[in-house]
Amino acid sequence: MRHAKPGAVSRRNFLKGTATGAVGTAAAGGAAAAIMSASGAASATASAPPKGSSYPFYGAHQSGILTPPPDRKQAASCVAAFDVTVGSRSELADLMATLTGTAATLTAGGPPAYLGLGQPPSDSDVLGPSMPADGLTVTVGVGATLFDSRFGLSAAKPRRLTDMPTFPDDALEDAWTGGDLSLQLCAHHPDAVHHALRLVMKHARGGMQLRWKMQGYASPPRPAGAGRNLLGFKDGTANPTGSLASSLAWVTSPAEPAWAVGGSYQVVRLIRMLVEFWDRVSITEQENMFGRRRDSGAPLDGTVESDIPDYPADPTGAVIPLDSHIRLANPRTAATASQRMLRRSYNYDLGVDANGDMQAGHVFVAYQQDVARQFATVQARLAGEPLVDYVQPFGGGYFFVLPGVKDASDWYGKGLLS
Amino acid sequence: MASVLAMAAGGGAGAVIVALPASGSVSSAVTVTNTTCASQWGTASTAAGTRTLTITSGATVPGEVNLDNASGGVVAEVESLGPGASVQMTVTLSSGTYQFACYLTGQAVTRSAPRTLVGSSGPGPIAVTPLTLGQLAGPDGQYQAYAAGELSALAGKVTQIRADLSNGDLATARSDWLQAQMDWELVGASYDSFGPLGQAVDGLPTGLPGGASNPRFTGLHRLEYGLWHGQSASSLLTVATRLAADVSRVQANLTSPGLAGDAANLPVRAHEILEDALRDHLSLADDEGGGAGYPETYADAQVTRVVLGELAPLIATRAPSLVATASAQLTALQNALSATLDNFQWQRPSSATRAQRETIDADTGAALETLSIVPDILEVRAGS
Repeated sequence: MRHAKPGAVSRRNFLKGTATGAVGTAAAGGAAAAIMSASGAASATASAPPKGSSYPFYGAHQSGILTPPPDRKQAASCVAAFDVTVGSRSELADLMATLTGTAATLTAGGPPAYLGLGQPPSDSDVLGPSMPADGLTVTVGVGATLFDSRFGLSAAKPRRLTDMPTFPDDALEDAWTGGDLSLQLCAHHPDAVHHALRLVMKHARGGMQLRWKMQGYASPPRPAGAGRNLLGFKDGTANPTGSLASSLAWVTSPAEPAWAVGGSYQVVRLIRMLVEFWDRVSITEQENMFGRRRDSGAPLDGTVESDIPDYPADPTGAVIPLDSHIRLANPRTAATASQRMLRRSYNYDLGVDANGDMQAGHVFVAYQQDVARQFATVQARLAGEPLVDYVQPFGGGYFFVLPGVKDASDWYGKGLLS
Repeated sequence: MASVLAMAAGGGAGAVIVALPASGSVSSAVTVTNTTCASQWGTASTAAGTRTLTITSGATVPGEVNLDNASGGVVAEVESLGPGASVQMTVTLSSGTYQFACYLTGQAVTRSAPRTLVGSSGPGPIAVTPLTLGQLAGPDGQYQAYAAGELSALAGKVTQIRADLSNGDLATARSDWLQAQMDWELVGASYDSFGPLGQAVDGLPTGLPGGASNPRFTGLHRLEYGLWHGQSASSLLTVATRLAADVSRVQANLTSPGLAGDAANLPVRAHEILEDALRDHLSLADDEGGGAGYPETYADAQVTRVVLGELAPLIATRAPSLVATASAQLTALQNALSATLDNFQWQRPSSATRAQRETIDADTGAALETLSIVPDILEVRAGS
């Protein structure tokens, strides 16, 4: 189970000094091949893992977007952005092949290879000796900067891919924004996310460097329905599902480069929530800002979470304010239906702010087939909404999630880089 | 805060409020229609305590439903109840008499019969005494007069800065900038509460592509940025001249609703000026080089004191000890800030000791927890 890139015969800088790093290269023998054969998808399938313990790695689309879907997303996540440090297109291809091999290994699970006494162990054992997949999905995206002059890729850039613009209420910090590559890791437990990031970086050490990362956790239903964000409100209630979700998520347009079909535009927004301030605001004001009841998640004109708000019956916003978050985000008109997107967001908790407040917030992650038509349009509509006093977007980025890895001979971005 | 629904005579349909027993509590279900208000509430006396109310609308129009005590204080509210919707709320009611009041758009106000709850279940939540916009007019007038005075002081200081810059005296310009920034804080226009005109005076590069280098970044913080980033006196004179014009615009429009003209905003100011200090100054988020988070916070505490004084008579009848508590907390905060002065000079927050910083943050937080009640007890509700 090797992710061969034809022509990759020399050792790359990013592999130097890491004997286990050669998993993705055709020429690499010995140790690398051993890792793959010991823990590849075939052996994982044979061991018949319990349902949900692993998700498919190969397919037309990457997992971690609709597999599993947002309403059944794994409990733990990390979004990491990297800058690539390789010097040529062929080295970039090798890096992507390496990433592919590691991701295939991790998502399948299975005992790591024994490398003998002559080198450090192949795996950290953070997940123990059997290295379960733990529902891991690995979702790889590329940023607009990858298409600059370094690799001669500018002509192949997805049509809508740009750096994330600064929206009117943003306070973007360079240290938390952008990147050449994005890596979304989701698993049932946080240790599996940590383990995956660590192994991915070990194998790709010389080829890419971590720019920023944010771990996240999903809230279970409290007591039912969509999980709650750290403002106490249910989040994701109106997420598209089923075929609607598919039709909104995947790039199909013939106007896009052929290699990009099957990919998806990923928007990551790191949003600090000023939870101390929020907790000092009346329930009525909180509910008017969202447009939903806090307890039940029902729209303010409804009874239960799944009720559809009836905006035509409330043209002046007497019940659901015109500037409430749900009304601005999704006006539920024919004209705005194609602007909907798939949100797959998590909560985060970090340390302490300079003023003694908790650092906590929301890792907003959205997928769509056209970032200009979908996220950017909705975000423009949300500019200045009352909620902005309580949240501060400070990082993230626009990325393009590569089409799926079709089979063991394919690798991330093969269509782009071959 | 709450919108006030237009009330007019009219016939029509209704909304329903229900109270059913849940585990450990009593429940009641009631319905509201265009012409009836929680008729199921009944009059039979029943036990006080925690109770889940299910309020269902059988009305054709939206509305607001309050549960009032015998003196007209509001103990619970559903601010917006859509036609046909059903809302549950769990409330703790002490012994006493309670009555629903229904304010439906375009309908006459209706009320249920009063019902008496008996038995000792401990003190219930404090009821909010209704307040009219008219009652806030006097305090807001006082605030406008006060703010006009602070704006005059600010305008004078900006004139001074322009003179400093004309003379190429950047050192004096820096100390005058601090005075001007504190004058602005003393106006109390936090949280963009003066809209775009206030933003022009005190905006941050937040949201601007390129940040501080964006030409749309103007005002006091733009001046601060230049003064602490080696920009020339002549280039900053342009910034200061623009600032003078923007301050004039705020002065000219001070009493418009988008600035200080909406009296309903005054209770919010009592809370959110200090929230602004926490969010922007003590977090260092708005430090463009001057390191003035502590004097800015000191000034914010000062103007909060002024606003509290203007609202004190209205607060006193609703939360008798609040003003005294908040005043003591603001004094503690100002003392903690003053303790960081070195030879009567403000220092950067980064030079404070951990103990000093934690005391400042604790005092700020304690004051905010107290002040956050002010907008709730002084909210202008339906029917007021």
